[in-house]
Amino acid sequence: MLVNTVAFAQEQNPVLSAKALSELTQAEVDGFAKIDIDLDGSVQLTTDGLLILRYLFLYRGNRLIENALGPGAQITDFVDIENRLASQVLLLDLDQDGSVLPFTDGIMTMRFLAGLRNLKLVADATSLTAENIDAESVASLLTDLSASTNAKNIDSGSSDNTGTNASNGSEKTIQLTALYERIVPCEDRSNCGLDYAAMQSLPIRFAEVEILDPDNNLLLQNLSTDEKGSISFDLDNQQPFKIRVYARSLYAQDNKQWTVTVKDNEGQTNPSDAAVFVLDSRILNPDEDSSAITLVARSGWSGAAYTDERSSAPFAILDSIISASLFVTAEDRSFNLRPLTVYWSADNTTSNVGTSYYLADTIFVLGDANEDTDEFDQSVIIHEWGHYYQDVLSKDDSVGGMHGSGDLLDLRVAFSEGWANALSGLVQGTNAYRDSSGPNQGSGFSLSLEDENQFSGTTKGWFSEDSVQYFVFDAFDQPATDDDALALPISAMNQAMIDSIPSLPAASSIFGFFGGLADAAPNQRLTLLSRIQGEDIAAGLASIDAFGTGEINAAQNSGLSFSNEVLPVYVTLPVSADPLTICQVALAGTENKLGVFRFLRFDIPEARSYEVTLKTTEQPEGVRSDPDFEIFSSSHAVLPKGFSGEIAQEQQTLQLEVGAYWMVVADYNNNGGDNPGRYCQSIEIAPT
Amino acid sequence: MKQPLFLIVTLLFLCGCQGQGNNETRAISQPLWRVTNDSELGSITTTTPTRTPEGKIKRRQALGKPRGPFALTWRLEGWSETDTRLFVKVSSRLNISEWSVDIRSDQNVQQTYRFKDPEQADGLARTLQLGAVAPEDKMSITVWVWIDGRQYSISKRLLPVGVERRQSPKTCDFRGVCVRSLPGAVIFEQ
Repeated sequence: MLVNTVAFAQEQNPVLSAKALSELTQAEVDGFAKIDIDLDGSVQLTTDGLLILRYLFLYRGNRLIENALGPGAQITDFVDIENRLASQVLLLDLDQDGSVLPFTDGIMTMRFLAGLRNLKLVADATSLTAENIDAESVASLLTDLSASTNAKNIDSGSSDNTGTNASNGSEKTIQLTALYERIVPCEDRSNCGLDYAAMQSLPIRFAEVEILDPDNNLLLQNLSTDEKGSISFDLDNQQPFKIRVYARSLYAQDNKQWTVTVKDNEGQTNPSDAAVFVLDSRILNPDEDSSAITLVARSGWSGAAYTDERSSAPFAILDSIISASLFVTAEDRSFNLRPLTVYWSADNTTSNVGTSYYLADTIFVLGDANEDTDEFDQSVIIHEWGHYYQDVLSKDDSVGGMHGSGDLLDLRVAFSEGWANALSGLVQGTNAYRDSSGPNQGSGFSLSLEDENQFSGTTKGWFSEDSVQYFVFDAFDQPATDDDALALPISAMNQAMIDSIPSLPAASSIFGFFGGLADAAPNQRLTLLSRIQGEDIAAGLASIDAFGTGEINAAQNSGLSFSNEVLPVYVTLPVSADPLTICQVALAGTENKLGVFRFLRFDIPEARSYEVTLKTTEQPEGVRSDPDFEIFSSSHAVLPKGFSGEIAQEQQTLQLEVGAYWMVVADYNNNGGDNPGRYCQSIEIAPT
Repeated sequence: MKQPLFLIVTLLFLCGCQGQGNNETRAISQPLWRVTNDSELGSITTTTPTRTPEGKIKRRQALGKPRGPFALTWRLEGWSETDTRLFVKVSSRLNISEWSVDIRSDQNVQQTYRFKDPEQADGLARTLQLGAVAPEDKMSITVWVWIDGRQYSISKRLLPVGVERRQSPKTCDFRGVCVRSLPGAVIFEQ
């Protein structure tokens, strides 16, 4: 086989002939690209890439070179190949971890030569000690190593690398712009809906694109659109092709990385093999068609209804998420976001997926036209992405559940939802949260993120998502949407969310967020304090800690008579002391409402085993109480949880380290059970 | 076990195997069929719950979108071929001055009911007599509320209960990559 390959090479390249490496001068060798291992004048996946990878996997001798030499290879002896590899692979420490390894540097080299770029180039291919995970710099290094002074030619199939493969007589450069149609909301605040007369054509940004051979769907080129939805690529004039744009963004630039994929869940809540949405062109011919192509994802709206395929929906969702991602990463900080999957389908109704929601790196989006479909409701998409951000980059202790304006909520829920509401407006540069629904998507609701007087008689406070959203929006909104002097940079939000909240031995709440924000913008601390006190939070206090110490707002204005069930926000539980009595109520509702959970904090002075004992002391008449608790350190939940079904008591022995802890206590009757009411318990924690 | 479906469909078929008298008693006290979002609680989603040995359900609720300034509960019941009743309840901690219900078949409004009820602590509720409705029919409602002079609405599809597939199936290529192809419009610039 080797002999045949060499013979073929000599036939095709009569001016070249196989030589021993020693017969070539150093100047001749230096004229080739540094990773043109076989010195055939080009760097190719199936020859040089394969040789490099085999070498790193310790293949030697004929096994190393078998079927891996180019037809014009100038060196063909395995000893010469091994010698060249021994010197050249040292240049391939792409991730700069001090070693050249097959599963990192070798894989990235192969991917590069296969045309993969951005996140696809580096994902899961850098070592734990890598100092370089930036796809652009890896690609740049490999481009340099692939360039030669006398023969530049990378057979990578990509257009975004070296500028080689320039158009010549047999090739044509194609300019592609990918667009999607977005239906925008009407501007009427009270009854929003979508305005189909105000459709926009927007770029499909940072999306994966494949150029396919229509005969067999083989991949000709793998690319990614830029911020204008554009790419260019070279194709043989005789090569028919098809463009496929994925509703997927693989982004890796400037130490920011994300992977977002929009899939079709077909109305299923547990999709196991959902397909990725793609936008396909018809078959195109370089020699017949124009070289400037625009590929458009249409909305499917024909004037009175969706009568055609709703091609733009997945791309509208993707673009809202890209807007949010660009917004929060617009600062000098590295971001490496976990992959996010979004499920959308025209079959996603309130009767199957229920609503648009986030859970565990997944967002489900409603798609039921004329009832509730959210692909064009940017507020909804960004709100749910905000939950993803808080989950993956910060800490979200929210218990989830139903929520809305005017509700008196558990403080964790109020913060999570209010912050996400505000983020949706900040990303869009608008002071309204809009959600369309109904016939022709012509109704729904719109809420101001700025106007605190839109509803009369609301109860402000640390338990209100409205209060949280007004404060967060005011802290960051820019003059165009502003009624205040605050306009903090996004870096301050990230510092509060990413650096501060996860480090606190307290639940995620407006109190912890405020502390992080004040630390990030110390010269604005008093302004921030004044603003948050305008929401009846921390009234009269000179400072705010993560536990809301000194808070006096027990939702008195609501007309509900909370007594000792909600204040202090955290009860301090002494260790090895007499039991305390705490109470909970369902006055504002069950499950995720104010008063259902009681918050406590305690400090463990010595690492050892402790017993936590919770005993019911008060309950509605004729009801079986079922108290539960859960304990958290600053970073994690302590296991096992106290969630047995034992009547009137819960007891757990736990191994606890020295440090600060917080816990929540609730009776199951208020948290999913059938008999909501007032429940009290004695609680103590003592060494065993 | 509570499933992550909000719409709990209960079809209560009267059983004739227990004697005529018993059958008549049930006919008076129970509807022939019922569709409800009683367990939906507006916008709550739950993952598959886990049940403790004692039977308690430990749920992790998803983080759903805001349901707006009011919550909607509804229950559609068929008591006979010509007696269908829709129970609708709106609740909010904000002040609802008026509210209305549009009953639609497809997109056409068949009937509008408008109410101006005195404020109630646990929400505003009405039972509407709809006449002849079958579970196979199409029915949606849009509920409007007026709060501080502004309108807000929630729309719900009541019938049909099942999901109609409206999309072409996915395709998988030789690489095992599964996609759902959407048509793109090609425009050439000269």
